Amino acid sequence: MSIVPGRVIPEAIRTLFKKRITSRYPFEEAEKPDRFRGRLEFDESNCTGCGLCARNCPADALEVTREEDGTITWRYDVSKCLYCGQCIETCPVKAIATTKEFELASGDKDEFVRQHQFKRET
Amino acid sequence: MTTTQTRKPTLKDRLTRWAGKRSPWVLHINTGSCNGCDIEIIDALTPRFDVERFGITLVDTPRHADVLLVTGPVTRQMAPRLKRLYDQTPDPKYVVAVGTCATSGGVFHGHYNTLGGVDNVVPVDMYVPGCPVSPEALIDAIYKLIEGDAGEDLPDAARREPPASMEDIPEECITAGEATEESPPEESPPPAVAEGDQA
Repeated sequence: MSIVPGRVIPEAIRTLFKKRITSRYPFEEAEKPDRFRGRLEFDESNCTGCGLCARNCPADALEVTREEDGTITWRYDVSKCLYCGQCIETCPVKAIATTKEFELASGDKDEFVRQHQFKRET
Repeated sequence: MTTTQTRKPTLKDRLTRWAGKRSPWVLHINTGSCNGCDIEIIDALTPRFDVERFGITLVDTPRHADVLLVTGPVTRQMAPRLKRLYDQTPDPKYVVAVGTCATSGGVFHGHYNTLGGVDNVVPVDMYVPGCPVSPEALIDAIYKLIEGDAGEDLPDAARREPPASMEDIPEECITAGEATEESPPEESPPPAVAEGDQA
């Protein structure tokens, strides 16, 4: 296919007045789609410690342990999470929600683990 | 793994770092990834995200690279190759573990055929979780890396400790890559069905 100058020149002129397509990302905020799944958010006031989220997690990113005195530890490892959203669907009390947070890069692996500890009646 | 030893930067370090900030050349290494993260790396190079704004460009050989973008959970076959690619990269070098698999093994953690993360083979400077990582997350990671939170104290690549779990890799996996290049196996088993195929 040869390039026809008569077609290229109007296209070039048209492109000059078009909006730029490159997102200005690190200098402006990134727009994410509405149903984007990022880091999980946990609301410990609702949680009953049933452990269904940890059971359903395909990557073992969630761990729920229950002590005898009713202390529940909800542990979430971002570095293992697949953002599949199964825990959100499984949770019977809607204690887990997703956020649009995606800027998770870190040089320190310990920063990826989030832990919540709370007490429930046994 | 975290770098334990640091040293004060010399003038040469400052110059290379200043130059490297404006043009970090990256090498993309796939160590058994599902191609999701690889495609996101390609996405970051498209006009929509255009990482060449920051002077980031993909190179073809580790000898030209400043940053290694490693994807995948590091299969046992790939571990010695990854180690060699790392050794071939000139200092100062940075390793970015791209994706959940490269960070911790992801869904493949605990598998017999993967080593569960890049930091089991080479020291990692930046982990980028995401499955797959979005191009913005990748830009954010490289931006964080070259801007450098610490900035002043450079990790001394020569004095970095080898990762502890390097010993866990079976010996034949480590030496497999070197053995094939230096002394190729002289006797390869003759193909059993070759004659039958010809007839």
